[in-house]
Amino acid sequence: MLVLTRKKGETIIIQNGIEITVVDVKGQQIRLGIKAPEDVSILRKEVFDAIRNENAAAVRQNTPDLDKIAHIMKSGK
Amino acid sequence: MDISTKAFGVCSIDPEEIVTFQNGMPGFEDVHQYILLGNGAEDTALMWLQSTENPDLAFVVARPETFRSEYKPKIKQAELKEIKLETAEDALVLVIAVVPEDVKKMTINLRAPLVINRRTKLAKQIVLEDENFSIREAVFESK
Repeated sequence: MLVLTRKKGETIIIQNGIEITVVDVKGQQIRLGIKAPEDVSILRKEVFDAIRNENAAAVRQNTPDLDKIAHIMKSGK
Repeated sequence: MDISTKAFGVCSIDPEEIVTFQNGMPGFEDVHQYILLGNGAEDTALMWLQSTENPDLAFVVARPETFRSEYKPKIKQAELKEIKLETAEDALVLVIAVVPEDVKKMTINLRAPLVINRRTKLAKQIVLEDENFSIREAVFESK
């Protein structure tokens, strides 16, 4: 991993198109400003990890009877 | 061709219907080929997305509009380009469901929908930036 030291207000540029600025530093918290093209997806890594965990949970389940669920949907109970 | 499935045992499938996740899905990056299995009807609310490679690997998937008619995920052009999606008509949007023992506690993942290009059969699970979409949306209780 490349490690750079930046001060508040300083920026790094990635691939000419993405700018990450240290907006504020307060104790353990660092606020980052990100300027990127519209089509660049930016996510907190926890979100990605949560999706991964949820996918794993979806596969771990037993084999539910989908017709039974469809019946609950129709009847509302 | 015949494949083994989690829900239906051995099934005969049309290889043309296999959908390809070129980059897999988060947590399942190495699994690329799946087939949608339902009870036959196109309008079925719930279906199986079954791996054609691993019989034990299958997701229950739902048409989000069945549960949340207002669901309109905003998906970036670059992500649609990956599955060569050109028109909205070619898109089939599904969400993954987690179905616990008590099926009324079923949840759907609105934060990471699956988008399948019906024409090219390319698909991708897209993690949305919008934090208002729940990863665990209860479908029966909070209605």
